[in-house]
Amino acid sequence: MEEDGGKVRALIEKATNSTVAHVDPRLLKAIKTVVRYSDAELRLAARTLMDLMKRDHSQVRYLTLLIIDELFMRSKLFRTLVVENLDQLLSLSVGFRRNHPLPAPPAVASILRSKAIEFLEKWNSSFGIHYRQIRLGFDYLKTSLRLQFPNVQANAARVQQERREREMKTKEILVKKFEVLKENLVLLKEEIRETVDEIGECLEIVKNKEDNVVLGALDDDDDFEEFRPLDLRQLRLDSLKEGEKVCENSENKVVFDALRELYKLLVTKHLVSVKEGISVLIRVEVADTRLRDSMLKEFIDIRNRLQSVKKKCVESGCSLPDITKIDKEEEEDFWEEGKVESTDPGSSSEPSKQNEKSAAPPTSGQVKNDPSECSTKKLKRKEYLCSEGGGTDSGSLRSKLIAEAPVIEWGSFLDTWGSNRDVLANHRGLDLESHWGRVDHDAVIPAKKIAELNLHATLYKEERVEIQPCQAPLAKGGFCQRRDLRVCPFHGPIIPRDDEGNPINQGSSTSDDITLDSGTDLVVQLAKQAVKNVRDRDNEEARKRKMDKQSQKRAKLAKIREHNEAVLRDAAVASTSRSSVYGDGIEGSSRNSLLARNRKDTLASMLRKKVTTKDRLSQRLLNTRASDAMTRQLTMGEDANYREAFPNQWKSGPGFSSVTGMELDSIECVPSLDLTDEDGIHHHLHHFPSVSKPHTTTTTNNNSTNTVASAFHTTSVHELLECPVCTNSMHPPIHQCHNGHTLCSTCKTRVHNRCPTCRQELGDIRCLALEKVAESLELPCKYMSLGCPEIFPYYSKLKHENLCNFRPYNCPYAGSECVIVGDIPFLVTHLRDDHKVDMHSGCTFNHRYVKSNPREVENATWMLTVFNCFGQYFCLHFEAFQLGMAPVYMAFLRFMGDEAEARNYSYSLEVGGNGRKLIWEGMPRSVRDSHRKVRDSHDGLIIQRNMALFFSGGDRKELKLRVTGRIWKEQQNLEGGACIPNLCS
Amino acid sequence: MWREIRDREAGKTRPNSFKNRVSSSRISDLQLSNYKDVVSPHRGSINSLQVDLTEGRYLLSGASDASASVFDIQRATDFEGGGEGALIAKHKSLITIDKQHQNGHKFAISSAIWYTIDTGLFVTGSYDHYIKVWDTNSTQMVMNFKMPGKVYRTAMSPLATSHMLIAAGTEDVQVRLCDIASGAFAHTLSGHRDGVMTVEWSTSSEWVLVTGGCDGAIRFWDIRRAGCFLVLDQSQSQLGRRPPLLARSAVNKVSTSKALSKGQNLSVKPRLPQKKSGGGNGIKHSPIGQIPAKGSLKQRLHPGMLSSQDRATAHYGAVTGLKTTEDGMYLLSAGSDSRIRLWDVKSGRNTLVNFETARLQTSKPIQLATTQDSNLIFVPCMTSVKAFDVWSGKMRVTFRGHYEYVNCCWFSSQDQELYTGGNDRQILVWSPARLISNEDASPAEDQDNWSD
Repeated sequence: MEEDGGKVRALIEKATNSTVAHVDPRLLKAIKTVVRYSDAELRLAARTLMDLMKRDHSQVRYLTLLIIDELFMRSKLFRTLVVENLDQLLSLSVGFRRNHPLPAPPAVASILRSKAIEFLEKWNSSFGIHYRQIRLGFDYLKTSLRLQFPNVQANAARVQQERREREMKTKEILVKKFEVLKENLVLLKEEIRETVDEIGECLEIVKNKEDNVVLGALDDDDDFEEFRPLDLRQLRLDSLKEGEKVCENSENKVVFDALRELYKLLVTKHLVSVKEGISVLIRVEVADTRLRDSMLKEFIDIRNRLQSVKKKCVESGCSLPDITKIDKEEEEDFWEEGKVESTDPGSSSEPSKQNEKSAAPPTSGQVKNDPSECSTKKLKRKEYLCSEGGGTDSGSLRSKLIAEAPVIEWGSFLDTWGSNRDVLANHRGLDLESHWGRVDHDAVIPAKKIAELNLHATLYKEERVEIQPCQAPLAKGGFCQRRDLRVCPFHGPIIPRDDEGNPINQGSSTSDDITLDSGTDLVVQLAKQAVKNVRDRDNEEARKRKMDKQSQKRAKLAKIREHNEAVLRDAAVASTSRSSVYGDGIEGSSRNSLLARNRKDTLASMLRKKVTTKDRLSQRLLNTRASDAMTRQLTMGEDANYREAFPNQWKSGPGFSSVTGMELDSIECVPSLDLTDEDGIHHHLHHFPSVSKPHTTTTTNNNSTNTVASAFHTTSVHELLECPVCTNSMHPPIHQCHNGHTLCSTCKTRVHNRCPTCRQELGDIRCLALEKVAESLELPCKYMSLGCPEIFPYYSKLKHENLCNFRPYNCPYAGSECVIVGDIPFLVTHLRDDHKVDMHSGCTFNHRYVKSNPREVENATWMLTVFNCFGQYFCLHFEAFQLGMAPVYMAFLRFMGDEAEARNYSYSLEVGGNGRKLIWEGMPRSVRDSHRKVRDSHDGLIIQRNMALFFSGGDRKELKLRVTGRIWKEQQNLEGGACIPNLCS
Repeated sequence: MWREIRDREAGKTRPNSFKNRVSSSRISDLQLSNYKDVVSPHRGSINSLQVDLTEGRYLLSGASDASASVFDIQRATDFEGGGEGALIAKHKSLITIDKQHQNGHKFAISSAIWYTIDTGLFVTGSYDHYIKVWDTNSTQMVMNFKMPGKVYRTAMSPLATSHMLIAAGTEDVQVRLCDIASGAFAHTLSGHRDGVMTVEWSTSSEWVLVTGGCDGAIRFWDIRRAGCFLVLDQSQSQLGRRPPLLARSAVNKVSTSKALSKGQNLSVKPRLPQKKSGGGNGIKHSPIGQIPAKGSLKQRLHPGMLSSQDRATAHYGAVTGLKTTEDGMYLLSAGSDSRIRLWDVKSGRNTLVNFETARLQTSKPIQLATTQDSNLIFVPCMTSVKAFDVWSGKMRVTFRGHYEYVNCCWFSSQDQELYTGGNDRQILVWSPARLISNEDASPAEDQDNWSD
């Protein structure tokens, strides 16, 4: 059993001793299997887990919590065990108790908290009904602390609901569309049919004409065939094939226009509407599917027909829009060069280009096409200069040339393109008379020189290609926004990634390019050209749209940039060790291998962090605002809750958050608190109100104790009875001014007949009413706090307080004017600690007083000794003073307590030597009687100096007095008469 | 269980002992009740709980949000939960009086008690310096008393037949007795040197009142006489309880206890000759009861005035809770020094029973509860309630359930249920485990669920 017990414990400890964010599934399974078949194991597991929850490390707690959840969801016994200590578990995992915040590291702590809350919610929903404790805990966290529960179920339900609503809406829309379609079907069909018919007719006409031309041309071709070299023949054939299609001329122009018009109509309107119809029909759900199916069938038929017509059109007049477009471009004298853009998916999806779709290159290829497109425009002018009557043949040659031609920016050198004339040096007729030397007016700059001068210098312009962000997923969520050319320092080579940040294999896209390039077929080239031309025209319209879009995009970009900055800042933080530790927990291997060379991944390492340079940099980078924001985020939730739960204690709240900010530099392992007894921990936080602290109360203003005690029902009256000048209680006669401001009689003499409140003349008016009121008041003695229980009429209170048995005693030390007052125990400690008085216990004593210079009486010596017997304290005084003219020494005992009690004791003092002895017997005096008073009443053993020196023996130079004595308790002391002798009288 | 019933049927056990046996066994397995929920309408901490003494059916609670509520703890207002097995009875409040009520209290209600004779009246004491008496049926205020300070605790004598006084401990040093019959203060008892946290009527004499103050003193008052007649002193102690009266003298136990209480009452008179014999009565039995001469000397002097006795304290710090045992012979007190003391009322001595408390709440009065046979005392210890054996001080059970400090508890001896209220605004019911648990398989049955 014991070794079995060791097993589950070891398993659990092993499982929790890890820095990853989840429990090793194999260990978890092992734990479960061990625990499943043995209740004892389960109990042990519960105990162990609770112990682990008390560890001062959030990671351990977190993993423990995960295991607890696993077992909790499975075992009933475990549930009953856990539920018993649920409050403790919650306080350890949610950390809602202020005095036990969750331990470091804070990042894991916050995960722990959210997880715990999530679990509690889960438990509550599945087992709450069986366990009141779970309900209670849930209610408490929810309603009292107002923690935010993730509310998983409700959220899921809401999402479901939303989706359903959306579906309903789309369905509705579809049905509506379907209805519309049903109505318009006939009309649409009619229209399409008309268009198709017309196209057919047009094509018919064109075909007929072309056939003639082509036939003739083919004859020509045959003639030439014999004496042309093979390659030339091929060229010819191609151009002829081309010519087959391009056959627009002045006579059939009308037909072509009509055809183009129709074609456009067909493509942009009918085809689209038919496609739409089909998609609607496919998606819509209608009651009678038969109608839908038939409609669908019809539509598909129409589409097929349209497509065949379109194909026919394309076959026959594919390039016919080309020429027109070229012509058009010819007239456009301004052409803005297309920008090199990385991708522009929008352009390919322009609806007007759909007819070209078959020929349209994939978007990645478009970048490559663009330069050639530009070159076309560049060289257009030249082309026309060179080949005036290009006709159909020149078309192919030109396209070939276009393909080969380099791209040159427009410049002034183009003005003299192709001219090889000499230029007059001074062809403007500049007068250079004042120039030194002879001026050659006929000087000619040779063409060669001109050409040299006109050499076009081009600046190398780097292609502005946007560098793709790394996009590797970050531990914190989000993606790496670093933009490096090839290799991200954190995430290795930059590879294209999908939305999740997973790398995509990109072999295919490059091969696309190759295939595209290899397609050097003339036809393809021409088709490309055609596409380009069509696109050019569309571009013109699209540009405006694009402008808008760009401005929108720019705004979006700005937003993104802003966000990126934030992300970068986060990333900077994330890449410091502080968060990377946390990242280790989350991400595991890949980052570890890069960052932490050979670093030990222990739990302690999560707590103990080295401050790297990067940290310091990041610290500086992150100004307080940023770090504040972070800590605020971490603590905001709980702070809010605390604020609600403990509104009075909120003050200390910010201290907590500041700690999280500070702990980067100094994190130390706090010895783990033993939480077994919740109560024990509160212990040090509480302050015991203590009863017996007399010295504090008495040394402070005595008035306050008095007023506090009596303030309850007499507050206002008592305030009235307070003199505004001396703030003491007023006693009759109480005076007042004409305006009724009261004043006590002692102060009246001091204020020079002016009311201190209103500066009126005071006069001599008594305030009898107040005197009467005061008379009726009853107040407790001001030494109430020292134990005096009595309550007195207002006026006799003062008298009593002077005599009160509970009034504090003065310090009995006579050597200095000590002003300390307090009760006896306090005074005893005071004497011992502050005056360094000797303390003796026992009721007999035997002292020897030695003084080397006994003649000095003026500097009287005081000796004080304190005796403790019968549970009381006595002070033995020994001093020298001048009695009349005679110098004497005197010893007497004072009782530290009241007169009445002092009478219960007696004492005797003996001093002697050389066979003589003086004996004194008496009653100790109370320390209420001042030292001086006792001395002056001579109530003690008085030794003449001569006598004393005699007792000392020796050469009478030195005082050596042995004083012995005894204190005893009087057995019967009922005579009671206060008989305090005054021996001097 | 069944054997006991058979014994009872056969007449082997007496009805009383049978009942006691059953109830004590039920008490021993109190646990947080899953089938009985008191739905607390309070939005502040619960300060006071009491089940009425006549029917044992209506639970009265007073809370810090100035509201007081009455619950029917025997008939639930509605049920909740899946199958038969886990049916949760919800007890919602029948009456709630809060700030919105036209005569409602303004500040926290610190004490809410039932009128002892019936459930037609209840009394609330509040921090707004008022004690109010309410008619339960009409939920109207019938009387109010303006007190000189915050009211900490009110109490009505459970045995009183000749008076209906509400004893009120307030911030003020004086204890006042409010007479419902006349609507005025009948007495003002002065002696405490600080506010009075807790008041408790004796359960043996209708005239004896016990008060515990913030000054640490516990005073006994005979309300027919002036001044207090006993101040408990923690340094005056005796070991353990006095031996109980012999079994055969159980017959005249009642009369003895009456005599004792009479003796107590008489002891107020300072120079009463038979006082000594009365006082010595219990002591004579005691093996340890040699009272020194000093004690009797003290008794002779006027107790209210003799300083050394008058200054005696029962606790260091304030006395926060008082509870007399059912027979009135002993008094349990809790103090802010986190101690619980058991006092022999007769001799006025601390019995030195060591209760193993860890911490008690210090700033608020707490409400203690005992079982009917006074074997267990329930003490709110911070966030938990602990049950102690009264005579040995051993801790029996810890009831953990509250999330914040527990202020009050009440034991209903009729149903053997414990009610606790705390700062977390919950009223929890702790009841014995069900004897016959319904084992019907319900859809949401709580079972093991091992997937692998």
